Amino acid sequence: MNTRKHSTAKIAGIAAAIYFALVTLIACNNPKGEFFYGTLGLGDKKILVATANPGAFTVVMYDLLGHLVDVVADYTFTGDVPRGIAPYDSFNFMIMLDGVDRLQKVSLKGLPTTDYSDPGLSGALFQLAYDGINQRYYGIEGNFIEGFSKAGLRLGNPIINTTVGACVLNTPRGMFATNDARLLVVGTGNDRLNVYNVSTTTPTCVSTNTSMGANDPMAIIQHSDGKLYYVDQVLDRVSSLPSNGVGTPAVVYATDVTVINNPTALMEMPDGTLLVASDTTNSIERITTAGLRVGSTSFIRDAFSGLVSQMILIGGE
Amino acid sequence: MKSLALILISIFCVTAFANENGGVAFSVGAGMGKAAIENPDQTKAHYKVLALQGRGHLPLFDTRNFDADFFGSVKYLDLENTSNTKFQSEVANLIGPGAGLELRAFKFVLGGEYNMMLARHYAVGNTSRDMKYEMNLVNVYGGLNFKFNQLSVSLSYSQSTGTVPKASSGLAKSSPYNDQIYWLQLTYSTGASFSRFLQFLF
Repeated sequence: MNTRKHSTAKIAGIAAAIYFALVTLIACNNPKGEFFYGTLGLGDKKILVATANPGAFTVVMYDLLGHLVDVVADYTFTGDVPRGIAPYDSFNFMIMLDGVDRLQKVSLKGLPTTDYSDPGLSGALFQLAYDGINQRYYGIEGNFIEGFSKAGLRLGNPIINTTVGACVLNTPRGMFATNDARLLVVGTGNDRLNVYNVSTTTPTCVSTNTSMGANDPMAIIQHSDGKLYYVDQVLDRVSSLPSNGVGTPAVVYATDVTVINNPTALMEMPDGTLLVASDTTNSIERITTAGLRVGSTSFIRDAFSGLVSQMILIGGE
Repeated sequence: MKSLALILISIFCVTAFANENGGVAFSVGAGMGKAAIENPDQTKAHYKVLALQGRGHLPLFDTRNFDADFFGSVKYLDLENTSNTKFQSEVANLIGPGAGLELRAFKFVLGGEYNMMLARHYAVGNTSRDMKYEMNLVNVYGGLNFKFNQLSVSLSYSQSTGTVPKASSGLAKSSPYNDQIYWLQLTYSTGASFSRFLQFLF
């Protein structure tokens, strides 16, 4: 009987030793990975704001209520100016940096960034647009538009030259890729809206609208209501155009320069309201497409909301 | 619901007349291991797991060398993301009741369990928020069991799978969860059948 008990104890002892060795092995062999995106709230849509404010070259993430979530990229130390941002996927975005001129893929989760540079990408850089249909990025460079594949390879030399048909680029500042493969570009040099067909590898000019007045249009978007909305810096207005971009603009908001003054960027919220970055007031304002301000205070006004270069929605897809 | 009631009644009928070799038993266990949740882009969040469990066993069939038990359990899992830094960390706690079936033959033990876990995830750092959800876990395990009179010691390995629902995570699709845990379990057998155990209690 005693022998049997001793034998059981011996086997138990050996098994316990193996067991604790396995536990130790597991504890030392647990791989590192990601955080669970659900916990980080990456399933919800977020607003990304790129700022070119000297002393705070940042990309800042806000929730849809305008609450600061995180500073996701900070270029203040390196002196690279974030000029344009565009989505990459739900958890990454592409940024165009002026300084050491390049595109950079940035993770919302703090993973290492990936740089895409090309000798052809140099000069004054501004907004960036992503054509999801053809999976191409377009970036304003001087009086050209540069094109990039999603893998960061430069397309064309450049992909859109200063003059393409009737479209002429002169100090372009704002750009938007529509969901029907058109590229909208507005500029302050000739106050035009140029509309390009980007469904092919060699974009063509669809139309050019010269009836916007000498008002320095700065940013443009295609809204889910079908219209095009743009902001100008001379009269500090928000105006709209029909979806084809042709015709005389209709004024949407020209109410109060203490609210919108020197607008620099424009974005549509999921509920259809518009966010307008107002440089003079260092704020981001929210208005309806009927021209009414949402609420009585700024949607965002903090240390990061001055000189916004571009705003986009990301995630939640 | 009716079928569940029938199963439970059947189990209680069987257990009431099971012989008294080991009888009603209670066990506590502690475990260590790892867990992972898959993100929608196929990347994974990996976790260190500390686990605790308590069980009440009702014998279905009980002989010297072969037992079959139905058991009810409460399981607690503490998860800590392996990528935690001082800037961002993530922990999670899961707790919930379960039920299962355990077979023992000689020194080998094998079982299956179903748990309904209530989970909470906490992100602390640059992003601070929490998330709650319910998750059903299917757990299978196997190991060795050593009896010392009324006390027995089990060393076992378990694997669980479940799904974090997309309605709770807000992500585009539900996220598969799995864990692997090494358990040390102590079981005390009362030696009484379920009916005698009830008589003792009431």
